[in-house]
Amino acid sequence: MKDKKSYSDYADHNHALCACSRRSFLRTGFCAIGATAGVVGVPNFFQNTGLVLAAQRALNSPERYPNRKLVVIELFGGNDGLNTVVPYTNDEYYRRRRSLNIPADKVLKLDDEVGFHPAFAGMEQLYKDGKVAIINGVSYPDAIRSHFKGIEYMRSAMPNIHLGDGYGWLGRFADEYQPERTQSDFLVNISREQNLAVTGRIHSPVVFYEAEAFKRDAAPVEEPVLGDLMPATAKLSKRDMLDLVRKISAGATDVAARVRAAVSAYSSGPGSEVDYGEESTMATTVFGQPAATLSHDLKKVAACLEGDLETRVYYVNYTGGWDTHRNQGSLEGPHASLLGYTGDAVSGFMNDLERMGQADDITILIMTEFGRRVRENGPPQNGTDHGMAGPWFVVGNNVKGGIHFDYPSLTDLDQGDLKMRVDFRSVYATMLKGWLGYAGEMDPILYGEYPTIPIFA
Amino acid sequence: MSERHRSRTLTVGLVSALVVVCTALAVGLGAQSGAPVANRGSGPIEWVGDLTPIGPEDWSYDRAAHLLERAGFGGTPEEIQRLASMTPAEAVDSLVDYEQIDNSHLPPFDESGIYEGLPPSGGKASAWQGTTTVAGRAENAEGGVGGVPLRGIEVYLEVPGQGTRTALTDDWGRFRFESVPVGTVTMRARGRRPGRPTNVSYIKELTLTTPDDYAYVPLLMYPTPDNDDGSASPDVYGVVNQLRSRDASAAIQSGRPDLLEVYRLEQWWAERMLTTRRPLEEKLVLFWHGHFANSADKVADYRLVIQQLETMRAHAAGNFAELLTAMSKNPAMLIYLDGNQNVKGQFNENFAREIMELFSLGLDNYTEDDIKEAARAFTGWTNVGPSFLFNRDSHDPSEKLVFGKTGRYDGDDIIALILDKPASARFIARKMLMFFVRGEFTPELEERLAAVLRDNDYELKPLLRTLFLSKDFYSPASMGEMIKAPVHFTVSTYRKLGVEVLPTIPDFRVSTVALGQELLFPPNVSGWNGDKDSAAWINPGMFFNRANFANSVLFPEPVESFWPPDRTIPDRYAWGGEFTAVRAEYDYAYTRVKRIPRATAEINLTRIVKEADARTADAVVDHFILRFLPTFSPDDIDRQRIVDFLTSQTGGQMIDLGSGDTLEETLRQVVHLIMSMPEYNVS
Repeated sequence: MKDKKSYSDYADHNHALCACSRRSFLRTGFCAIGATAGVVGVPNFFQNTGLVLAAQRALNSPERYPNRKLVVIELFGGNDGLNTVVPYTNDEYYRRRRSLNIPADKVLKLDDEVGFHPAFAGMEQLYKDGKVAIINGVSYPDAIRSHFKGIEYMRSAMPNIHLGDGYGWLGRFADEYQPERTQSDFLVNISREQNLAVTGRIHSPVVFYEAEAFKRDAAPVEEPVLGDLMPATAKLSKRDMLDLVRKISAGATDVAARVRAAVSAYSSGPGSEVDYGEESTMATTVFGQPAATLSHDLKKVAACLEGDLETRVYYVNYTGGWDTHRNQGSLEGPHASLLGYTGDAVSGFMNDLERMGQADDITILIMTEFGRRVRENGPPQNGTDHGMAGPWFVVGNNVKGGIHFDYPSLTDLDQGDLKMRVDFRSVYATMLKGWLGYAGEMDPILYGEYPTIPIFA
Repeated sequence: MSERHRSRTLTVGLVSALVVVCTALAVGLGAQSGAPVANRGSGPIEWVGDLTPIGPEDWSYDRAAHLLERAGFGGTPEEIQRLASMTPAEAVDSLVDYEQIDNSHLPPFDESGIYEGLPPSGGKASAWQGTTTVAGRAENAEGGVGGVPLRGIEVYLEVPGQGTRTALTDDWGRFRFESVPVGTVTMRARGRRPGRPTNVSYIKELTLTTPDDYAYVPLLMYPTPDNDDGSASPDVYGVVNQLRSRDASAAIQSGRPDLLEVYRLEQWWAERMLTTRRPLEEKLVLFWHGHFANSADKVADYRLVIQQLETMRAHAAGNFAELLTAMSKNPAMLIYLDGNQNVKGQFNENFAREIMELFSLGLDNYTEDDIKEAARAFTGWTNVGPSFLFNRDSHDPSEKLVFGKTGRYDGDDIIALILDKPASARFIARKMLMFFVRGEFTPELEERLAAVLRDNDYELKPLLRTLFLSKDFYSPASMGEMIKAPVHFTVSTYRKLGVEVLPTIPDFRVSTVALGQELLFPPNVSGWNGDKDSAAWINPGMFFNRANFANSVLFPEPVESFWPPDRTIPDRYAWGGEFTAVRAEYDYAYTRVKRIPRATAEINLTRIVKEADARTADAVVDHFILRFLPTFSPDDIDRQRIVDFLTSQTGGQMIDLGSGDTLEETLRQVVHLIMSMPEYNVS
C-alpha cells in the first residue's frame, strides 16, 4: 500500500506550471515541449510530441471495446450492506441486530451463507441469471465515517487526501483515455450538480437533471438569434481564447440539443413502456426540490443510450434516505423500500437494454461510500450508524456472476465496523481495465496500481 | 455622490461622440478626426514579450478598457473614457498609486455580532436583560414541509405589557418574532389554510429567561376528517409545542452562524469590488486570496477571515517580503495550515511545505529535508484568537540545516532565506503573469519580470507598473486572451451595467458558485486552477450558466417569490436524520445572523440609450458593443444579427424611446444576447 501523502502532493501546481495549457492542447492536438515541461507529475501526454501521443493513444485505445459503456450508480448516504447481503447463517448477525435483522426464512438465499433482502428481488433474478457480481467488504485503509469526506474520497479515489487533486477518478480516466477530447459527451452526469467523480481537467461532463432545462434561459424571441449567434459549427477567429469558447459553445449547444432530443424521443417512444418498478414515494420534497429517484434517472440514461450520444460513462447519484440512523426498518420500512426501488430500477433498466439490443454493451457499478455499523441502534431509534466496509455490485451480461471475497467477519471488527476485504480502487481498476479495456498506466488515474478482480469474461 | 453624478453627466457628450466615431469606423469611413482613437485592437505581434512601455500615440479606448478589465473589474464607457483620455502612464499610475484615492464611502462589514454576549468558553449565559427571537415552523406529519401549503398560519404572541403580536407563516411554515423581551410570554397559534375554516388553536406559555433561550416551536399538522367534502385531509393544522432551550455556545460551535456570517462577508467583499474607487487594490486582494488560498471552512471564524483580508489589503501593492511575513503570522493562516499545531517534538510540516511550494519558491527549489528542517524553525508560531504569538516554550531552538545553510533559525529566518533565493521572485512574477496577463509565456519574460521584483527589493508597484504599461500587455498574445473568472464575470457585468449597489437577486454567492468560484472558499491551498490557466474556468455547463446568470440579472426573479439562500438549509441535508439535526442549528443561526436584504439590480437601459443619444437600431447595438464588449470593434462580431433582432422587435431602424420604458424589455433582450455570446466570456 502506498504511503499516505500530504494533499499538497496533489495540488495542481504541476499543471499550472506546465507551459502548455488546455487551450493550446485543444487547439493543436499536441503541445511542444516547453521550458518547464518535464516537471514531475505532469501527465505523460503533456510531455510528448504529437507522434508519441498518437502512439500512446493507440496503446490506450478505447477501440479495444468501442461499444462498451459504464453506468455508475452512487447510493449516497451509506447503504446498510448487512441488511442488503444478509449473512443469514451467522448467529453473530442476529445477536447484534436484534430488532433490525432479516429473518433467515425471509432471506432470498444466494448460497449457504448469504442472501438478499427480500425487497431486493429485482437483483435476485439478475443474480440467478448470472449477471450480478457481489463484491464483499469494499472499503479502504483508515476509512473515514463522514458522509461528505467518505463520498468525496470515493469520487476522487484519493482517500484521506483532503480535496484530492481537484478531479475525479472518471474525469482523470477520460483525460487519459481521450486526451484530445474528440467528443464533448464522453461523460454524462445525471445530476443537478456536477459530481466530482466525473470532473476532469480536459473533459468536463455533460451535466443535466431535467433534460428540458439543459439549455440557456432566454425569452422565446431570443432563441433563433441565440442559435444564429452560436452555430453548432464554430466560426474561428484569430483569438485563441475566443475560439476555445466558440468551440465549447458549439459543442454545448449541440450536446444539449441531442440530450433534449434523446429524452424527448424516449419518453414518447417504446422505452416508456418498460417497467422500472415503482417511483420512490419516500423521496421527500425539500424546499421544492424532489429527491432523486433512480428509476427516473436510469430512464434518462436509457434515453441517451438510445439517442444520438456516444457517451462512455454515465454517472447517476441516488440520494434519498440511505443514511438510516433512525427508523431503518427491517423487512419493511425505509431501507426495504430503497432496496426495492433500486433492485426494480436496475432490473427494469436491464430489460430496457435488452429491448434496445444494447444489453451486452453496458455494465453497471452500484457503489456507496460506506457500509453501516454492525451493532444496531435499538429502540426507539431502530437504525444503524456509519460503518466501514460494505458490498458493491457489478451488473451486466458480461459479468461473471457470483460472490467475490469472503464476507467480512462479524466478530473481528474495526471499532465495531466490518473490515475491508478489497480496496475500492481495485473495483475501479477492474471497471476501467477489465470492462472498458483501458490499457494505459493506472497511476495517473488512481495514483497507484491496484489489482483487478476477475469478474469479466 | 452628487459630485460623482456631475462628472458622469459631463462625460456623456464625449461618449456620444465616441459612439459616432465607432459607427463611422464600422461603416468604413475611418476616423482621423481627433484623439483618442476609438479602437486600435491589439498591438503588432512584435509586442509579444516586449516590456518597454507603450506610448501615448498607441493609446486608445479599447486598450484602456483592456487595462481596466485586467487591473480592475471593468467599467462603464465613462470610466473607460476617463482612462483613455490620459496618457497610458497616467492611466496605469491612476490604478497602481491608489492609496491617495478616497475610499471612505465603503462601509465596514456590518457584523451581526454572533459571538457577542456569549460566555467566553462553554457554560450558559444567565441573568440576561434584553430581547430574544422566537421562531418556529409548521410541519406535516412526517416532519417535512412538502406537499401541503404551509403559508398563512396565524401565530400570536402575547407579551405582558405589550399586547398581542401576530406573525404569519411563510411558504415553508416558518414564523418569527424579533425583539421579544425576555420573561414570560404566551404563544397561541391558530391553524388556518387560506379558504378553509379556522381550526384548532393552541396556547403555550413560554418562559424566556435569556436571549439564548431559543424557542423552537414546531406546529404539527395532523389529519382530521373535516375536509370540505368530508374526506380525511392532512390540511388541518393542529399545534404542539416542543420548546427547546439551546445552550447558545454549543449552537455557535456548530459553525452554522459563522457560516452564514461568512456568506454575508462574501456579499460585502463583492460590494467593495463593485463600488471601490481603487479597483486594482481589490483585484490584488482577490489575487492574493487565490495565492495564499485559505478557506473559511477550516478557519471557521469570520473575524479571522476579515482580518486576513485586511492583511492582504494592507500589503496588496506593497512589499512582497512584508506580505509573506504578515501572512505567515496571520492567525487564519496559522489555523488553516496547522501552523499552530507545529510544536517542538510534534512537528507539523503543513505550513513549511506550502510556504515553499505554493507561496514563494515553487516545486524543485527545495528538498523534503528543507521542509522538515524549516518546520522545526517555525515551531512556536501560534495564535491566540486574532493575535499572533511566539511561544518560546514550544519552539525548537536547535540548529537547522536549510538550503545548505546551518543556524539556530526561527520562522523569520526561514522567510529571509526563502526570499534570498532567486526562485521566489520568479514564482511571484509567474503567478502575476498567469493572473493578470495570460496563461502562456516564455521563461525569459518571467525572468525579466522577476528581475524587476528583485531589483526593487520585492516592492510590488514597479512590477505592476511594468506589467500594465508594457507593450506585451497590449500585444495580441495578451489582449482578449483570458477567460473571465466567475467573480470577475459577475462583478464586471454589474459595473458595465452601471449598477451602483450590489444586487442581491440573484444572490451573489449562489451565482458565483454556479460558475465555479466562491469567494473565501478556494478549493484547496493551491487556489483556483483558473487563476493559473483561465481556460479552466469554462466548460459547456459553465458557458450556459454564465449566460443564465446574465439572464437572471436582466430578468430577475421578483422579491416576492425569491427564496433567500441565506435562509435556506442546503439541499445536501435533504435526507434522513441529518436534516432534523441541522435544521435546529440553522434555525438557531437565523436568530443570530442578520438577513441579507434582497433587491434586484437597478438597471435602466432606456436611460443608457437616451444618454448615449442612440436613435437607430445600429446606434443602439453599437453603443451596447462599446459598453459590453469594449475590446471588440463592432465588425469583429455578428452585429448585424443583433441589429436585425432589434429592428424586428421595434418594427424598424428608428428607435423611439418615447417617455416611458416600453422598449426596456427589448433592450434587455439585446443585452442578454450580447452577454450570451462567446465574446462576452473573454477579456
